[in-house]
Amino acid sequence: MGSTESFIEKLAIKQEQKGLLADRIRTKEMQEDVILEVVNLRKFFDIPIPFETTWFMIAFVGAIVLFAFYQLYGLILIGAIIVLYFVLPYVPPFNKRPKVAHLKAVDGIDIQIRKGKIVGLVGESGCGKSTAAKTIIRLHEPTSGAVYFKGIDINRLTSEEMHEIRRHLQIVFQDPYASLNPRATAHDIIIEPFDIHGVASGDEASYRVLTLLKDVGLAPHHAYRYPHEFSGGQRQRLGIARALALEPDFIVMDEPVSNLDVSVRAAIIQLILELQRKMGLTYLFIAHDLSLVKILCDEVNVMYLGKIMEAGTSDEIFESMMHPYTKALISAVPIADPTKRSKKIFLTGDIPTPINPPPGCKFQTRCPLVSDICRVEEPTARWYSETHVAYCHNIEGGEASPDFYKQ
Amino acid sequence: MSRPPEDILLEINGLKTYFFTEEGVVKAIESVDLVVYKSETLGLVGESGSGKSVTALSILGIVPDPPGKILDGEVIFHGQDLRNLSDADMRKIRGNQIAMIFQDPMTSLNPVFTVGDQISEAIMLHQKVTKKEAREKSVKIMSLVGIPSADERVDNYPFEFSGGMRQRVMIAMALSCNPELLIADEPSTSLDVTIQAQILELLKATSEEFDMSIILITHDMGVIAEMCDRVAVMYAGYICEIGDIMVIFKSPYHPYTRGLLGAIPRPDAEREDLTIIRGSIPNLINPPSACRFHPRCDYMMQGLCEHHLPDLVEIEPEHMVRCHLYTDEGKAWMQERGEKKVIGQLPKAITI
Repeated sequence: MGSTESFIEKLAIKQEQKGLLADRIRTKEMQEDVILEVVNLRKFFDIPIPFETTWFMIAFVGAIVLFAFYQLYGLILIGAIIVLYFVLPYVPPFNKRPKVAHLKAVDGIDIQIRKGKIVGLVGESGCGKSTAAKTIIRLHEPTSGAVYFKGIDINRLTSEEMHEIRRHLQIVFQDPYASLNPRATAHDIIIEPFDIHGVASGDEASYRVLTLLKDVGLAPHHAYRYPHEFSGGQRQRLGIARALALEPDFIVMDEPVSNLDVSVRAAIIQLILELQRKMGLTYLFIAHDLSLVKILCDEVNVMYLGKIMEAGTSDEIFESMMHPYTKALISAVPIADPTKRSKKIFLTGDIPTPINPPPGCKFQTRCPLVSDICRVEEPTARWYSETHVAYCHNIEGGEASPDFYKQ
Repeated sequence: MSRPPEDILLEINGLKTYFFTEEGVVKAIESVDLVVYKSETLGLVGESGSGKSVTALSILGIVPDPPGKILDGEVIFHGQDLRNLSDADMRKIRGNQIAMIFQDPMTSLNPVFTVGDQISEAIMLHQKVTKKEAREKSVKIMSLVGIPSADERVDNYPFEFSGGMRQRVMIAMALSCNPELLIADEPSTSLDVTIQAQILELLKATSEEFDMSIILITHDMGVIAEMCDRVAVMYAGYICEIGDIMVIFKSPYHPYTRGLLGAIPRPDAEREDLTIIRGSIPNLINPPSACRFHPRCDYMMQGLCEHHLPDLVEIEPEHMVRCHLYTDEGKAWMQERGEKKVIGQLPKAITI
């Protein structure tokens, strides 16, 4: 919106004043309607591998036995073992063992989010969808890759600049109770963003809090209640009000209704849609409930073990899906219609751990179509329309590039 | 087409369970009447706090006491009231003729024993077999529920299994004594959809193979539609509607059932089709008077619903509804005021 454009200009002026190199902030020319673009984003977590203690334990027990027989020698031995235990890991050749393993939570994803759209990110638990969302709005620092928000690579901004841009990027968390301060009233929770960003203060801020409460369907007398005094649905409304306080352009909805009961869930979904219509918001909607994603989202990205398997518009994903994982995932969803008991595709086994993901295609361990090439080579993109892309070796048709359809 | 009485496996009449807590008396179940027929799957659906799980615990007589207490009602299984049985007799039935699986398989498996030990324990308790035979039987039942290389996995501890596999172990344990009734309390809620599909398929297959009845407790209407023959809808301690699954999903009679079905995304629904039940689930320490749904109900009849609890009315054989829209009192009320309240159709009702 207008405020962002002026922010970019301000940023440029500040850069000039400081005499900084203009290319420190990398910008990208983006299509008119694209608000956020994620390019090859990766986020690895370092998992420390503990030093093997087994041999040490054996030696330690031996030393105690020795100590029982030869008192002083034993003491020296125990000391030596303790010293060795702490020193050995740093002495070659014993220091060769890697001290950390990489948990590849997000392993190179590309997403384009158009203004005013609801983009879904779906997948099983542990596929990295929440990490992806948090990395996109830079709550996690990415390992590599870029996120362009209105053309600016937000990962290159300083914390001051990031502070400014956070006004436009907000998030609503899954568990509203865990994400609200239990010792602050609803009023304090919503007013905090105003204080931090110096947008409003005093009576004006309080007035805006009341307006926000009304917008999300809460009453003014709720303002002085604490989070534990609200029901689950009301708490989630409060979380949404907080996210809306600074009039953002883009909100990440990280499973906002998964913890809620069916009847309350529908009300929150209605609220989310109504706010989008009213304020022209753009959402990245994370969910594992596919029937909800189907009716809610304009575009859907299907994720598996840190990678996007298939992406497309909602119709393309649910009506003409190509990837075997998407097919299995959609067929597994129970349909609330007893006359349509669907034929299911059963995947064998569980989702593998992302610490040492399988080589080649990530889905090869459970894929019904698996062939030799899947175990060696990562599949490349196959485009079925300008928006519909799937990554698989064993599916028919498609083009290597979306340009084929751009005419 | 009412079924003959000898088809009935379990009958619950007027069950009432309260919890006496420090904050007050939680009236978890006020009045539950249910019939489970032989080799059928009955769905028990409702939101959290509607009393689904407490019903299950009350059937087995394992309501935590204190604070819980079954105050009234009878649970008739094979002609005898389970509530009158001694503890020793009840133990013979529990886990043997009636088995239960719980939502969270990690907390209901003992972490310090191998799964083989835990399955054998159930077998040895109810059948006269040696330890070796029990172990062999455990391996057999584990491979039956689809645990690969069961003869090795039998010596593993629960933490060595994934969530889906743990739930399979729970099912194996429940099936080990060929129960006639299996109570499955949200068996797939904590699992991913692909794993959920596996577990539900397993339950369906085993219920056919063992010719056993299942009470499937869930809040997911999708799971009910996939699995069940009949469904009972619970709200705040009452059964508000019970009937054949095809009837309930096509034309629900109770306003709450209708609201519940309107609130879930249907296969070919649009965004606008999602309807809302206003308000929220009542606090059961101080529940609304009479019909507990009346503060949220669009069809509420002033002066009737908040004073008189409607009876379960049989609309058609096997289809019971607890709502004043169908009682004589309700009809008199409507006639008196010349108002006609008819329950609305489901938005975009499914075309059958």
